[in-house]
Amino acid sequence: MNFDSPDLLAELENATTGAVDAAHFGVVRMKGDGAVLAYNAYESRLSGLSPEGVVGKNFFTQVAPCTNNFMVAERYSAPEALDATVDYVFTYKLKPTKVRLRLLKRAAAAEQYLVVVKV
Amino acid sequence: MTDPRHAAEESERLLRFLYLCPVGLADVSASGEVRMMNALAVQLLMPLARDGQMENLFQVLDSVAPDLPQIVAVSTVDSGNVVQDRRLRVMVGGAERHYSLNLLRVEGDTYMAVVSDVTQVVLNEAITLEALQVQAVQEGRVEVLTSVLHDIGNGITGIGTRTAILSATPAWEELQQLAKLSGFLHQRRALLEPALGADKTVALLGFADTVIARLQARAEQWRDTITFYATAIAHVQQIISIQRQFIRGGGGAARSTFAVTELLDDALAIQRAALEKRGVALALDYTPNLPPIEGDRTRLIQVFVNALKNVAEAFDTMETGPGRSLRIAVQTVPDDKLEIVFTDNACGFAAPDGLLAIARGQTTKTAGSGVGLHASAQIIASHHGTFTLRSPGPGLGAVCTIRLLLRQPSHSAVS
Repeated sequence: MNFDSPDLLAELENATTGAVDAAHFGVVRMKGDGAVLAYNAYESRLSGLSPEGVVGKNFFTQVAPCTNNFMVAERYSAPEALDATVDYVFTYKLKPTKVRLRLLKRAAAAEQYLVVVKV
Repeated sequence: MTDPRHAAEESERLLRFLYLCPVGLADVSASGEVRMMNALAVQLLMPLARDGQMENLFQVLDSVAPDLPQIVAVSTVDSGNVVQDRRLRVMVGGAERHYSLNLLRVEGDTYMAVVSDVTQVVLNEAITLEALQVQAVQEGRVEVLTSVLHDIGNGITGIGTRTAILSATPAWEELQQLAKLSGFLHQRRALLEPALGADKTVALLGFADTVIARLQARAEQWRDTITFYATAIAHVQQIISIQRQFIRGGGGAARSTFAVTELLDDALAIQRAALEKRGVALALDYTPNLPPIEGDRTRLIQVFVNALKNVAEAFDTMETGPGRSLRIAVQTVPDDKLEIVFTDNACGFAAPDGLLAIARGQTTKTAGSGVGLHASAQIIASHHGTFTLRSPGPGLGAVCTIRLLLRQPSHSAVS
């Protein structure tokens, strides 16, 4: 899988857990309300948070509050399909780290993805 | 030996604590270089960062606090606050937000920045400041009004004293002397006639009697006028006394226990002239031995005065005629409440189901502002009571019903 692939959303939807964990970028699969369904190995390694401790929690408020603003979280609230790339900063283990985010979801879909790659 | 799994869990717990810390924290150097930063700091500061650059805090805050590098450079603080509760007004996604920034020097080249969103605090402060300003203006007005009432009261007292002296003065002494003189002339008529002639004697005695009768009539009118003035002055003094009493109590929401009918009588003393001027017949139906109520007398009399004023003005749009009436009934009702009902046969109003929805700006008057009704409803609500205004329709009168708890809940303050 490629972060910049135009078909990344479809690829993620069809990927096995192993394939997602093997990706060279972070993948967070969420419900429409932000509850985490899957947190891949890459993202877990960078953040220092285990998938077991993250799954079920609200990503924007209980896992990565740095994304809880109009630049990231609020963009998922619109019902339309979303495929946007955002230059952002994550605080992996409190170290500010420049990242690129891809915000992905289909229109009126039950699930959505946040994909992260270090710049 | 430390269990690696336990250590990992401890580490994750610490990370989670820092990630979720509800205050933005950043470890920065004296030049603003960011070494560590937690999630909330990123959430708050990213909307300010140019091109997503978060390496330097001073650059991120340059648009709202350009003097930060200078403040740090000239600070002589070895350890402690360098910047304390600096308020920053920022635009986030088109909305105005307010941040609080604290910058502490930990040691040497190590500073800790603390950022939090204090928008709600700033809004609350603005509301409080506005309320204090309004209160200050009100207190100023009360002070002026107290002074004016004091001066008017003194003037009225002087007039009242003079009027009392005049009304206590015996009937005109000159008139009595003139009557005696007339009586004397009538007795000596037989002596006058030879000197003046019969016709002129009759004319003289008739003239004297006429003058006396007219002067007596004028004296009577004068006494009636003095009595009228004395009554009017006493009424004005009563109103001034009531107003001064309520102004003195107008500074706060002091609760006391009192008879609501006394408060109604005070309100009527203030508004009676307005009702009489419009020919409104007043009927009072107070249930005997009503229990006292607890409340803020100053604010409740405002409600009653306003209710009476509304009734009086409601007759202004109607043709003058007999039969205008206002009935005020006070009784206890279930649930330990006291009910005060103002029933008039004035112009009434149209409202869905006959019940006026009282909101700020809502009025039944063509030139009303709606402030009085809304304020009255709020005052009654602050006493845990209800205020309703009903009318069967235009031209069919209105009924204003106020229900008050006989005893305010002990845990609540009338506010």
